[in-house]
Amino acid sequence: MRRLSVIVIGIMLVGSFFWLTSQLSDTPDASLHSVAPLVTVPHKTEDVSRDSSDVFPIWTKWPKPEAVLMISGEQHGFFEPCGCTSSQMGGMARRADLLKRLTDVDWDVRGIDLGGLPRRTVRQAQIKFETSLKALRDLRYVAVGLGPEDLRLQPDFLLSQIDPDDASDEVRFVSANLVFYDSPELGTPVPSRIVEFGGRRVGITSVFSESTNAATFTEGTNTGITWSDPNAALEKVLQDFDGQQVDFRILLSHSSLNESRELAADHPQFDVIVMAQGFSDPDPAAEPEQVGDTLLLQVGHKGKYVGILGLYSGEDEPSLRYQLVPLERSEFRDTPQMIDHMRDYQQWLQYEQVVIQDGVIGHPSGASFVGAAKCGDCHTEAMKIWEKTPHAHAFESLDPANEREGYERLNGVPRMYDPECLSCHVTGWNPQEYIRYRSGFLNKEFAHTEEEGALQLMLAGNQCENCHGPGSRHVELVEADELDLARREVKVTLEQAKAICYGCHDTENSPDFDFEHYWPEVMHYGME
Amino acid sequence: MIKITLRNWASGFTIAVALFIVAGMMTISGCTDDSDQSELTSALNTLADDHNRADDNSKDIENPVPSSTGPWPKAVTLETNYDFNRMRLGSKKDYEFTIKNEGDAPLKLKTGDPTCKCTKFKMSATEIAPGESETLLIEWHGKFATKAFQHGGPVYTNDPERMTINFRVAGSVDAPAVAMPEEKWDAGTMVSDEPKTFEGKLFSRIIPKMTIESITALTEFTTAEYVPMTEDELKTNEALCGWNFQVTVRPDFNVGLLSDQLTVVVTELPENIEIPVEARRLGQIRMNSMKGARFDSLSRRLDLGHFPAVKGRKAEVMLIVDQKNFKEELQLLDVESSPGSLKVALEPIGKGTGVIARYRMTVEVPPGGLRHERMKENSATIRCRTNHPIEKEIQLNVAFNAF
Repeated sequence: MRRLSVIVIGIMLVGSFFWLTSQLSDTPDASLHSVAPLVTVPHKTEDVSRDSSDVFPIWTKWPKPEAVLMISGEQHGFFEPCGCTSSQMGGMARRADLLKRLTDVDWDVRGIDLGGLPRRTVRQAQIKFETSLKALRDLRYVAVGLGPEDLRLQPDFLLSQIDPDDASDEVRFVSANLVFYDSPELGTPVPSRIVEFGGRRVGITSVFSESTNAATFTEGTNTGITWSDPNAALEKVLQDFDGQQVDFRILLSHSSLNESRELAADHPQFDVIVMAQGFSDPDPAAEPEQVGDTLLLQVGHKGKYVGILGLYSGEDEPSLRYQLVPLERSEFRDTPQMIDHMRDYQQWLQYEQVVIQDGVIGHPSGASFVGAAKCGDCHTEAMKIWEKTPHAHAFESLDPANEREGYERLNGVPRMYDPECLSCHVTGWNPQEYIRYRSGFLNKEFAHTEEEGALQLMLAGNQCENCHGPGSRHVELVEADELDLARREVKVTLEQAKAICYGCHDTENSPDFDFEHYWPEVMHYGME
Repeated sequence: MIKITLRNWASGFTIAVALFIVAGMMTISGCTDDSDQSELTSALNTLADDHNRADDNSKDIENPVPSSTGPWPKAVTLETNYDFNRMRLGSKKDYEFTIKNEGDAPLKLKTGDPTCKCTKFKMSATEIAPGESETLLIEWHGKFATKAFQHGGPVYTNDPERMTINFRVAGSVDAPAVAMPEEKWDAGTMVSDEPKTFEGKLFSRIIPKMTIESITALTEFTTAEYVPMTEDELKTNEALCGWNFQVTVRPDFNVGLLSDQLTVVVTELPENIEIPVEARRLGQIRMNSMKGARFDSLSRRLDLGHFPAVKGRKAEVMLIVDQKNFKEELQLLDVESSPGSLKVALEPIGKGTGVIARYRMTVEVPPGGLRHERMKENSATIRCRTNHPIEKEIQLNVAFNAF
């Protein structure tokens, strides 16, 4: 018995030792399986060195580059992650974490952005644009191209965002063939930007093609933006690069994909062309395109990906390494610095009352909103069902202090004054245009009359009228005993309901939404 | 009765120690798992995430692992990419890729996460016997108009030479009708008292024939006429049918932004086409926020925020002055503010270009002043008399709380 006990305890002690050491060892990156293998791209065709092994994370597997470029573009208003994949990729906070991982191993990094930062042109879009620029400054960006979305914010606004006389500000708008007010001496945009770091001299410029110009501006109108032929403009920039001994040349191209390929053929001096108007989700495992010795890169849309370009000049190494990095939430953490920017942005929206400032529209039906409490006077059973759903608490979920399900994702930043959030979390807003209907929800701080002051309490949450339409006419008809007409006024078929649900539960905000699965949880019919 | 002897006591003690170690392992295992979970994920799943996992895509199932000794399967595919070309907005298309096992052992398969939830991504089986084939179905739902999409996902296998196979479908999704320019039709800045006329196009790349029933604008300032596009124009735009529009905007709207909309009713389409139209009438002197300032250029409201009265605060606003009719340097002849403690200064930014001149206006609540709040309707006002022949006065509102 004693011998058996000794043997048992001996086995358990040995087993415990090995198990404990496996649990407590520090391998934080061991779980990062999901990113595709590195693509090592030869810069010169004779430098072929293909490495097909899995080398992510790159900051532990690549030899240290002399200089590193972090390339992003076409953010389209997504300061935070986009839900258009199963894992909500992107966001400035994760981009900052990626930068930190690179700088933690002493990589010398600068950022460049293709342009296409905003999505709309209202005041909220301007504020978000300015917030994004602040974030880019923190992330060591040096150049931002100008795409159609940026230019729609108008030259006056863009001029106010960058002070070319401020030497402490590294960021510049670049464009080889666009000028504001026929005045290149304004210093914004600049035809090119030359940055020296890591012992390399990198030249960056941007171009706006003829087809993109035609798709963006009506011909002959005075927008304050002068467009010129891209090829002639690029030749001038390349001559300037030669004169300034630039040894690495990048073009940010707002052109169709074929136009970008033609630019690569016509201007082979460019080492890299970053192409706009490409795939929203390029394949990280695919090798980048090449035209001659020029690499053609796509970095996707909505800030979901970032391209990392490592520059080398040793004879034994390829001169470039490139990896498109998906900013997955399982791989990267949110950073406090960027969360602070989001907090400032939300406070700014509140200060400027963009809920009011960005306008109000009439509902197409002509009716006005009456609030769920009014509906519940008659529809008691439907009201009971609704009250138990998350729809009833949708406004509360914008404030992390209420700790509604998923509140951690807000990172402690309230969103109660953000039209892009309110439009689905309250009643009486257009969910795709992010604009308030007259008589729709209004934050009580912004009310000017007693009637307006009641709108927050009356219309908080995602209520009946978001699906059935504003109920004032329905109520009038009921009170006039026109019950058939009253029913028809607000009747919604299952097919119509599905389309309405997808108005808020779209792929950007609710990527896993399945109507057939969720409908039983909110289902309600007719009068009780 | 059990005699409690020293021998029994020792055996019991060792068993107790063993049990204690097991209990300790279980406790540590629980703690370590929790810290790993909080370490590696930065956000919890939402309710939607919890309810929608594909049946054959459970994260609990491990990826297939190749045998270390053989025999091995061999995954063979004729193609891993497919182009749907043009799709109509809202439509679905699908394609079946074939995977054949030309090896000597069963080929095990597991689908990874597709790149987008608009993508249906399903294997017909999770194992393929040697010599047999199965299919991967990718269905794409074109929910958004896009010039180029590329989506798909990985399939993991136990073929040691092809442990991950990436499949993709690509194409473009066209709305039934496309307006060119896209997004909105911008008449630009009205620089004279004459109406502004500009051109736009409306066409379809997927519908062969469309009939316009009516066109209406939201305001009285915008009118539109249209003619069919020529064959060459259709070909240039890869369109099947379309029209050239001539849009005219009257110049007599209020200074600022005109936001209008053309609503085009087309017989063949269930929904009307809405084309935003914008135009601007700008004053001779325009104001914009400078970096870091919270300034609304339409209402000319500068927000200095909250700050200690002992410290004060200042912010800068950019003035842009048209130089066509005024080539002198802009000067502030007189400044009135309420409260009177606000300070205003104006200095040029560089030289004028002949087209525009820029100025930096600094607005300051000086340090050491009284505590007071001037927010919302109670904001402070600044009136500046200028030497400009047309814009003789500039006014702005300043909101702040000096505590």
